[in-house]
Amino acid sequence: MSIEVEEHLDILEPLKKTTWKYWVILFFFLGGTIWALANYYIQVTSGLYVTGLRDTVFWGLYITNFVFFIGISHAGTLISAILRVTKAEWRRPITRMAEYITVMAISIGALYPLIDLGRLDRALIFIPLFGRIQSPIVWDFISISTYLIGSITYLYLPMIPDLALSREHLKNVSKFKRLLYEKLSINWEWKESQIELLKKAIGIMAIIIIPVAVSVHTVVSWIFAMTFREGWRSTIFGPYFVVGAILSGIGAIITIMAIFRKAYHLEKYVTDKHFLYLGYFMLAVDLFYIYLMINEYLTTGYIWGINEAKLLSSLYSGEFAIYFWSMILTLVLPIFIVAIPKFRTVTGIFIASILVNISMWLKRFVIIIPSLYAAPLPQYSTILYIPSLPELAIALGGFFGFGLMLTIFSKLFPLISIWEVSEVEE
Amino acid sequence: MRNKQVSIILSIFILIILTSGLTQFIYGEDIVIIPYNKNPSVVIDGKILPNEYNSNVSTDNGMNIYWTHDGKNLYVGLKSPGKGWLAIGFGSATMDGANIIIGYIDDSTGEVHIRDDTGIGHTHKPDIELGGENNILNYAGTQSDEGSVIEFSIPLNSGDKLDPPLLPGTTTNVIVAYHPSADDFETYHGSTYSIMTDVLIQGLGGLQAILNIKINGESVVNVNQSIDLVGTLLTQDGEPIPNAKIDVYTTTTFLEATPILLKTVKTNNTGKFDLKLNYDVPGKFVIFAKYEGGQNISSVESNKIQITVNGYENMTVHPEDPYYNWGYIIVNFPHMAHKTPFLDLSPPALAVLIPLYLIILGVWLTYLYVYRLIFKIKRGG
Repeated sequence: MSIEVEEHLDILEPLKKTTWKYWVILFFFLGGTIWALANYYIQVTSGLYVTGLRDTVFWGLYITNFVFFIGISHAGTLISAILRVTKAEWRRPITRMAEYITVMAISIGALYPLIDLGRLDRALIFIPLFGRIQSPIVWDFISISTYLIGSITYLYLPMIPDLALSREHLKNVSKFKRLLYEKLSINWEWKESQIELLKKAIGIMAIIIIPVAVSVHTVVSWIFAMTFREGWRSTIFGPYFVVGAILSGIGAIITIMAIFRKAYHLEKYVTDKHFLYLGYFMLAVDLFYIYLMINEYLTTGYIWGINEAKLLSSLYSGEFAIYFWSMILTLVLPIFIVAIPKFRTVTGIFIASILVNISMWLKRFVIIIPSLYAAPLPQYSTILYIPSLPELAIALGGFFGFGLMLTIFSKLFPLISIWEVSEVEE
Repeated sequence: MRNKQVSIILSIFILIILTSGLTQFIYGEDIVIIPYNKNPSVVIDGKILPNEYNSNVSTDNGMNIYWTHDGKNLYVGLKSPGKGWLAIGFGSATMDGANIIIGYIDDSTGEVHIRDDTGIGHTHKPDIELGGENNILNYAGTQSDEGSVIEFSIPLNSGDKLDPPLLPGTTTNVIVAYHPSADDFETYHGSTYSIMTDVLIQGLGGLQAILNIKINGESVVNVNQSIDLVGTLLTQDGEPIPNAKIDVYTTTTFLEATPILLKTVKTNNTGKFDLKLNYDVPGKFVIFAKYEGGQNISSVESNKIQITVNGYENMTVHPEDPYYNWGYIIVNFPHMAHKTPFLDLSPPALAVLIPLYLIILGVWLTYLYVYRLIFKIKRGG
């Protein structure tokens, strides 16, 4: 079997040259990341006291970011694995970007529980030393590490032929890049037997990674659902979190796709059709998520116990109303943007995806913090949680780090799977 | 080529701006001192004259703090570029727990309104409403087109339970804020605030005190078991300091929180003191003591002692306990965590967990199979 790749070698162009705009963006993200790391150093040396976290609200922005990033990591699985298994051909130009998002989002997201612990040595206490296999935090550790390893493998496999192409066609790049392509392309020579083995490996990973991804967000939800807290102990939290993760995953892939398309002039490959299809997908999942959310609030509200009332009052008209109603607004608006033909443009869908991202971050925030206030046991203090500056810096650092990794990877590896795009056109 | 140079210079410039916080953090700032002056020349009249105070600090929100202390009282002149309220807080880097003095000058009447408050979270309330007292000894203020000035004096150690003591020779955290226009005590300051950590309250000079504490007996005890703490307060020459007030502090189970005052005791004629302590919660605690200093004697903090308090093996709920009728109670025994067996599963839990873990095992075996395929590809297929 031969794959004609010559026509699509323009995908390698961003790897050859770098503009001043790229360096500005790179240093912006790098600076932000260093800023966050400096603040993390302050937190480690001074203790969690420098954050706004206290005995009442012990999970704040960090765990919000954790759930958010693990959520958007579903982009890769969903776009790539599900569409690959269902043989949806239009997926080919966008799978690579989706898989990047997955690996980077899990890497960033998994850091936040460690940051939230304060001292890193506590991680040793919770997991290897005294961790027990019936504990949700141990399940989290196992499922996230399984998902991370699986996602890296699943990103790497379809990249092997493209790395070989990079090795063959990018002769004038830095020594580091040449070494990278040489080592990672593992003697790929476009042999029939190699292609066959590769397709087999990709096929296996595509199937296995779907339940692993579902398990990850289910387990993340169990950290809440298996706790004695109003607003958390719910039987629908598993699927609810999975659907939420899929929604934020689609939001993230549309946003990143639009940015890369514009930055690297990928209009030839990432077409309006991709935005339209993903927009429809986002619309459907958004509606389903709203359905689950109605279930969540209706059942909690119908009970209206002392703590349920305290929780829902704080959300509807109390101190968290601004976050709650902003979340509702940014969740509902994308439906209209995608549903009304006039707004259903690439720009419209891009704006809708950003609204979805904001909404899903706010949703995690209103799940976590208000429930901590509605504690069933008497509380030592009821001061309002306001994140401190170091805490904000560390939380923003996740986004800077995410941007930094994407920026660097976009110059190291092809953003679009060249051999897969070439294959479909044969 | 020129574009490349421009881009590199621009990138470095952005990096420097963004990481300036880190640089500042690594190299540190100059130490801010509240100077000691046995006979300060401060006149509380709302006007700050050159050399009236021994120190002047410009804060990054545009305010100026003039201050000095005489070992007993703290004299502060506070200047802001606004015409609204201005405030200073001692003893906390956040508002929470700070001893806040807040005041404003009425734009129309020129009358000065001032309050002794305590920070609660990110708000504040008058001490008198919180069971404390107003400890402002003297105050005055003026307002002009250049801004507002408020002068006041407070005791370094008022004895008010709400006010963190400001002990000569120790450090404290200071926060300041002002509002450009609001003449009240409530309007939010927005970005016009500033924080200074580790501000040194200059010591009084003279004799150096040495404070030592130790536990008589075991440092590992059970809850409610008595602990004998003994200590000595001597001068650097080994002379006892009698009748001195010693504050004994402990950390709490919430390790990041500020240590709390356990008890205040007095030294006897030989400079010794003793104290019986007991803890009703399990955990690891650090005990230390402080002497606030006296006439011609410096303040001092003692060595730190760690004790371990082991918890209950079992617990009885009594009818008078508030949770007696709740029908449920959640109890956490941190000291017993290590005693829980690694595999402590009931049959229903086993029925769910074992298949789940087998599935995970299956996933990892599949990964291994895929890696085998990758090695086959490497060998040429």
